Amino acid sequence: MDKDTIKKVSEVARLNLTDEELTDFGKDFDSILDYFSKLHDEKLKDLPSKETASVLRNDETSIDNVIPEKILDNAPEKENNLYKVPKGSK
Amino acid sequence: MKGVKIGLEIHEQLDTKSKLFCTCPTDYRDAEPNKSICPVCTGQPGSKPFGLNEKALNAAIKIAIALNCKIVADKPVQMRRKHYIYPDLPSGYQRTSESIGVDGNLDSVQIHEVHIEEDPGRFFLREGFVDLNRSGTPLIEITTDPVFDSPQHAREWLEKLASILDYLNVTKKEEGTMRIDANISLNNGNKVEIKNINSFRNVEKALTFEITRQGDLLRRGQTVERETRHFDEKMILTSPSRKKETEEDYRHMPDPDIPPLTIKKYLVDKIRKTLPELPQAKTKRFVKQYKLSGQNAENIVSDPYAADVFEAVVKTIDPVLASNWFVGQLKKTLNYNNMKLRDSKMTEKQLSSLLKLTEKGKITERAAELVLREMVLRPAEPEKVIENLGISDFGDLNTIIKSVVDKNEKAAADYKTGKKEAFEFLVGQVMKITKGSADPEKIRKLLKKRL
Amino acid sequence: MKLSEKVQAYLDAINRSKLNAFVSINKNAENDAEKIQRKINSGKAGRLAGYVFSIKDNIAVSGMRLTCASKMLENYVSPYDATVVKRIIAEDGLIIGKTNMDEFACGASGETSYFGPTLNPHDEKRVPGGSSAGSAASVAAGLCDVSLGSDTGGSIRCPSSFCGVFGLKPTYGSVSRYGLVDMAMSLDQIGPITKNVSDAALVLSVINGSDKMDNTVVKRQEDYTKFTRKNIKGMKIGVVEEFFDGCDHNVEKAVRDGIEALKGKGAEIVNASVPKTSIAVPTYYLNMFAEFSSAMQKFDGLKYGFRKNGSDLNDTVAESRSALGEEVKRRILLGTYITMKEFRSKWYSTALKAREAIKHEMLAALKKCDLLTGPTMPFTAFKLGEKIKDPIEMYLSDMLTVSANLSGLPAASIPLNVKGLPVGMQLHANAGEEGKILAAAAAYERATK
Repeated sequence: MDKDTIKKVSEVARLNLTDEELTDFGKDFDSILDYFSKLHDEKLKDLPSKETASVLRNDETSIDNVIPEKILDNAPEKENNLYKVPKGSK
Repeated sequence: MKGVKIGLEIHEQLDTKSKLFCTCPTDYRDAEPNKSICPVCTGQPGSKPFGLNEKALNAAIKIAIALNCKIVADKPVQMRRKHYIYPDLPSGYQRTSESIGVDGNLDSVQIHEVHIEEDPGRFFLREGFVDLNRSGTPLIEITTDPVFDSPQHAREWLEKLASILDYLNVTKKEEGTMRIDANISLNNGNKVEIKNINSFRNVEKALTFEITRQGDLLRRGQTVERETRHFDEKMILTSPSRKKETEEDYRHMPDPDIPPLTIKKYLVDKIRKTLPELPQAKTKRFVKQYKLSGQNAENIVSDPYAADVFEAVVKTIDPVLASNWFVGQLKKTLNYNNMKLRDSKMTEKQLSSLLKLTEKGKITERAAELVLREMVLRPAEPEKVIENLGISDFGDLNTIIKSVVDKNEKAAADYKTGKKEAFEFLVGQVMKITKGSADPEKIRKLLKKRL
Repeated sequence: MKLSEKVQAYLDAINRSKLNAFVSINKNAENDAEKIQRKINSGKAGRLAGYVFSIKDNIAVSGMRLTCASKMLENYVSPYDATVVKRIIAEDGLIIGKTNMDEFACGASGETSYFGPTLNPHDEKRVPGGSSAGSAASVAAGLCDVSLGSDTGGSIRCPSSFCGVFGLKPTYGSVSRYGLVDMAMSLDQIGPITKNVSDAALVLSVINGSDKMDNTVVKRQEDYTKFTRKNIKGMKIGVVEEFFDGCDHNVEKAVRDGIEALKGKGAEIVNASVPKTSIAVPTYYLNMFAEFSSAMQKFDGLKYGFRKNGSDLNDTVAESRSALGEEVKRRILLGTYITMKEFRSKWYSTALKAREAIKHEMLAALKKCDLLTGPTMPFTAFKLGEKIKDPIEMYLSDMLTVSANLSGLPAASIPLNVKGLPVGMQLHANAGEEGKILAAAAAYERATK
């Protein structure tokens, strides 16, 4: 897998990789995918349609006053009960 | 417009008490930020979606039926994950269903498909704040084929769609919940998508701007880039979004946490039976049954509440007279106050009584208008409103006219010698006494008769 | 012995231990012990009263850290309880702490933890197996009574085999995953790691059964304790020859002896075959990578977890995510790659079909017998650092455990009666037939006592 492909994949995956990582992962991926490509020698049938089990829920609410606070307590940064994150652009 | 191809994607919140995959309330508007949240709708590590909200599913089926879609009942419908990382999307993917209805049409516009999905939270990008109260609220998404040939056509059709959704009564009633993505291409060129437009008027404006922009590019021999843009309503222009193309690989994947769902045919039939009379049919009936003009009928029918009140009123009032009031003064008054009829506490009976008074000629139209303006805001029996407004003598115009003529003998004589100003003076005197509540035309008619 | 004395003894042992099996200790453990003791004294205690649990640190316990042994979640405190935790507490089980693991369950050795590797209680130079490394080590080393682990491709059974304890991965969809941090949602399952079979049967009885918070669990709760006393006379056990391919000689011998012991208890031993075992590893990893990359999207440093500010919003996300360990990143990248537009039909779609093919073979083999058996791992615990530099070598360790996950079937690792490093024998059953596994495992236990 060439560096450009890994670079593109890392952008989609939102990971900043160092040059060294790009090279190392590139080598890894080649050998891993090379080994995994033995799947392509298998004769595989098309997938049967999936089993279904409609799990539906009645439209009912429940309110917990403590959990929202605990959830927000884990925020790296917050202000007036809002998460604070870097500003965005449209 | 020649060569213009517009397609629309409409998102509207479904009217449920709880979110799509958790039990948090959806009436977050009155809540403090980040209060209507739980591990599920904030994507806490280890949380899983609960069962799909049945009411949201049924609402989507109802909408799909009303838009003449084929309901996907022959194969399982899978919830899928649409991956992208953004502050408003706590799990890094949006759960969105496969199509629930396909191949529909409304007013000869082809509906591509209808499905349900989760609304993201709110990201205030200028400040960098995130509120997840909205996150996970059920949305319906309706996608049309690219069949509109002008921005105006798109807006008019959206109004029809909004009216149908209003009739179905399964979407949120609050203003500003509808969000629209519009795509547009000129002369089969590249498609540009304008995301997240919040009103029909802005859809029209954004598209109008795009036609000019793209037209200019093409005239100069340049190509239109395939891209996503957003609409700035203050500047009335669109500008490109700063999203990289690579980020738009959503890597759709069936959500392993949610087993596929089969929509049973009997459920579709059951929901079909609950469909109300829809605007098109109702308009036709109004024309036939009440002998209304097509325009008046369509106008009244566009608001389901108004249509119901109309049908109650015409039990005692002449339908044509009533319809003229509905599309005329009543509409004007409501628009002036930025209200819909359902926002006014005025009862059908009060409105009927007022129209009865005008029908019988007991009050002038001008007086009735004044009374109506008051009644819309502070509903009461019309007689009471008339009294409160102090326009008690409006009823007997002849008496007033007689006294005005008696008191102004000179003016009356001048008129008879052909002086037009004298007549206007007398009309003015009558108006003064009736405090403007009397119909000037009627005054003129009666005055001429007396003189 | 009173519960609080037992808890104190465990806490002391954990303190002294050099195994690095625990990531967090329950600060209220002594209080909890007293509360439960009062219930015991008044005769109102639940079924798990007296049991001291360790819980893998990818399972949520409200008020305690939920780190997944990652820098990303080093300081994350769970705002809620996993369903299994709720059920354990409701039956008066006591949670003493959270156990070390491979980071986000990515590993078969227990070495990828941000907090350092867990050591094997039988030989501290060797790995305990992963990813539920601390869970198995804590049970084997006597730092608790029982543990809950999670198993996506062998993460309960591998360390159970290496540490010489009993570990059971239940049928997919029989135990709620609510509160289990996702690795691969269609493969993950929580299960018990215990010193003996009856403890596992009891824990499974408490934690299994339908949950409104997990759509994939719809079956009613079942009691499994009765199966451990069941006679296995006439039970058909299929020996899968492919499971012995490339397996160490001492492991093969130990397992074949184990099978003889079952035969001695009246089981009928037959031959069985699952040829597609040869493609189990690529099939498993491709499916897991895809789901794992999806599951890991939520770790963006914005709402919780590690944040490192970058030049803008996107960069902050990418910088924060770079706190993830090497193996985690490797799997996210591969999972992203194989699900991208250009590559998905070649990789992801093929992997889904291969999964179906393996499931088909496993079910076909189980039509002819009650249980399938073979070794859990092809070798005994290897040395720390031996495989960590070679991903393929590490992935191949999972050869014999992943088929159960790909097929959604229950499977357990039974500690065999051997001298030296522990060896595990694996038993697979049809969906919902954990009872048969428990019966056979208990029979083996009785035979070798």
